[in-house]
Amino acid sequence: MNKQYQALSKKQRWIGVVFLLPFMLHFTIFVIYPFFATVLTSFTNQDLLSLKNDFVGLKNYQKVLGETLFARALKNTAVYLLIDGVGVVIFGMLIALCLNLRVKGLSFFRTACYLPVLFDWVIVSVVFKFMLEPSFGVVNYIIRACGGTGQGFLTDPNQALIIVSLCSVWKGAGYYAVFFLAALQDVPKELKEAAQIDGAGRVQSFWKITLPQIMPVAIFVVLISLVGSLKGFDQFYIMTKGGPARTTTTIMYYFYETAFTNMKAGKGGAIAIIFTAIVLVFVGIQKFFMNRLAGSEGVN
Amino acid sequence: MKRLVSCFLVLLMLVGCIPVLALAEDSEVTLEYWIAGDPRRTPAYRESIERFSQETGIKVNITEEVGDNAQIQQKLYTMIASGDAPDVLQVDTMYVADMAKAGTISSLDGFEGFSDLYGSVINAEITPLAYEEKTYGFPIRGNSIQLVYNKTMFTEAGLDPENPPQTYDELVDAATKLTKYDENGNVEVYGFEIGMTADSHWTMHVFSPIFWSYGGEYQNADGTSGFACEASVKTLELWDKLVNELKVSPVERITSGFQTGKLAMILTGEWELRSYREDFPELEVGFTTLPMPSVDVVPQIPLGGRACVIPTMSKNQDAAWKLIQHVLSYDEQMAYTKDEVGLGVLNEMIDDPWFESNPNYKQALSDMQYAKPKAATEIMQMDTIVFDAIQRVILMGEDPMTALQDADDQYNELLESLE
Repeated sequence: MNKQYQALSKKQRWIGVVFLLPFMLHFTIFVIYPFFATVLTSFTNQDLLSLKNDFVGLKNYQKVLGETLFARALKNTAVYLLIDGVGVVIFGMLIALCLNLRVKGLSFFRTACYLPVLFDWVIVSVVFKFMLEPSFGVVNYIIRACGGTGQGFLTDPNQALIIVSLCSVWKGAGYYAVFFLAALQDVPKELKEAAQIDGAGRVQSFWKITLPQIMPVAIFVVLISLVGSLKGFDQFYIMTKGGPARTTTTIMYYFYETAFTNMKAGKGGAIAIIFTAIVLVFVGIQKFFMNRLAGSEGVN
Repeated sequence: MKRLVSCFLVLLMLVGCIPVLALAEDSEVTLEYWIAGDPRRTPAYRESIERFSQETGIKVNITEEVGDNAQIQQKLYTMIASGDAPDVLQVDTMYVADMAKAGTISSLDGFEGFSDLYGSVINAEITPLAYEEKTYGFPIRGNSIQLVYNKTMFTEAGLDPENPPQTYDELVDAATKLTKYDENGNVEVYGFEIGMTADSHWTMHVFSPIFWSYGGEYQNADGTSGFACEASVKTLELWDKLVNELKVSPVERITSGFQTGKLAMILTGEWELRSYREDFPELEVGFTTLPMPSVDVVPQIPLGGRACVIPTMSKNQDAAWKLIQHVLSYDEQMAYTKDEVGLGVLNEMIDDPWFESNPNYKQALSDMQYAKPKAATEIMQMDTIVFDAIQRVILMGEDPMTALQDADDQYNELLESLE
């Protein structure tokens, strides 16, 4: 126990407990209990349709890990992670660099860049679906007007996953830009000025001064964006429903379809636990890097 | 002290009254009725239930569930699994057999007046609601899909709007003539829409009639998957021709494409008629039975609609049955039909004079005799498996038999896991 806690009177400690209670209650009911219930369910053949619920041991895990669809979902999730997770970081940083410039109408651009973050995924997905409609959508209309060939977009198995990922980048980049902007504004001006005096150009100054200074934030953003991407579901549900031809079936969508469309709660539970393990790996990596960063900065 | 004693006595009296109050409540039945929420339909259902309460004195609480079919079904299964279900509920007809198999809904055969009610319903609508020779639901509304076409576009293309396509060859021919291009060769109007969507359920709904018309069945006589067959190949070849070869159909359904003049012919049902009339009054709608491979083939139309069922855990089974009898009565069924909230399912309705002035509804009602249930074990999983194969063929150009064999393997594996 730390000194601060020991210095508290008994009454103060109880007051602390009372303040914590609502959160603890919420956390227990909506996180801890469902988690353990899911673990238990994953060892059963629970089926909401037939109401079966018998213990089957590790059968669900064997089944899921042996399925071709699981491997495809894993691959699709990895591709999505790569495009969305990395895309939001690159575009987030670019947006932040632009917003960090002192230009006219900056407030407008700041608002415009952050606006997509505020839109609900349902609205964004529906609007994109309309815009990308292959026959009469506005995007193909523009492409055709410019002499190009209309694209299939969400109906093309080769494009659908990339398109959904890019929509996610568009929606998420503004959020991560805020982190980068805060980091950029924390870079000491003296360092940049010194570099300028030493003859460094803008690009050199960015690579040698700015980037190393914002690196801790960049690593943090990369890791949280990857974990965020892993949870992506709404956009797939609304825009593609895991298709066409399973090219956008991610682990999250695969879980939803198994547990809530096909009503196989037991198998769905196994997918959820495997998915949790994957997320935990990412959280572990995040923690490792954050600890290293904290250590290198001398922060306890 | 006196006050304390008085308070105690009052309390005792109140406690004594509780059993009496409880008894009074028991004698008054209140039914919980679950309907699929739909702003267009709900007022008519509420009025219908008010009439029921007035006639019988049975109170009914209506709960509207909003969402798509699968979402409503998820909620329902969760409620039943947790031991909390309404007394009467409306479910998609295709789920009734599965629910009966699971033992979550009651057989209705034993109720008074069952045979009369059973006999009054169109045979194709009621027989799919049976499991092991017992009936578990009654359809509150039915539907079948038709070929819906724009009469004005037919005339412009030199086609006779009173003689719509009856065969697949005629359909392909009409679709080709109806498709319009701009000066750059881009499609302005598609002649036909096959109806494939990102939703596996609807895609199977429009795939099935063609598949059946070529003699296909979801499951073979021995209970194994029946998709890797000539009927599926022919269906996919027809779709491939329309979408990829002739390019007279979009690959995916276009929202409101028919109403906005981007599609000349589509597959849909009577549930759209009211919206066409009210929101697009200038649209001249043609409405006809689905084309078949040749005129001598009996139409194959997938059964749709909602059925009323009584969960086994309902404590008011008799009152619930009365409610089902009420919503299936001639007057109520005609009221739903006239209000355009759902087509009634009674045999004798076809002779009602109202249908003479509403020929499209008459067409839909008479098509119901051809309605065929999309009955299969694990239908939701089956839909997604076959849908995957369909997309691989139409969108990725894969060999139909290879994709269908994959679908068969997956579906067989699923069926084996159930044994």
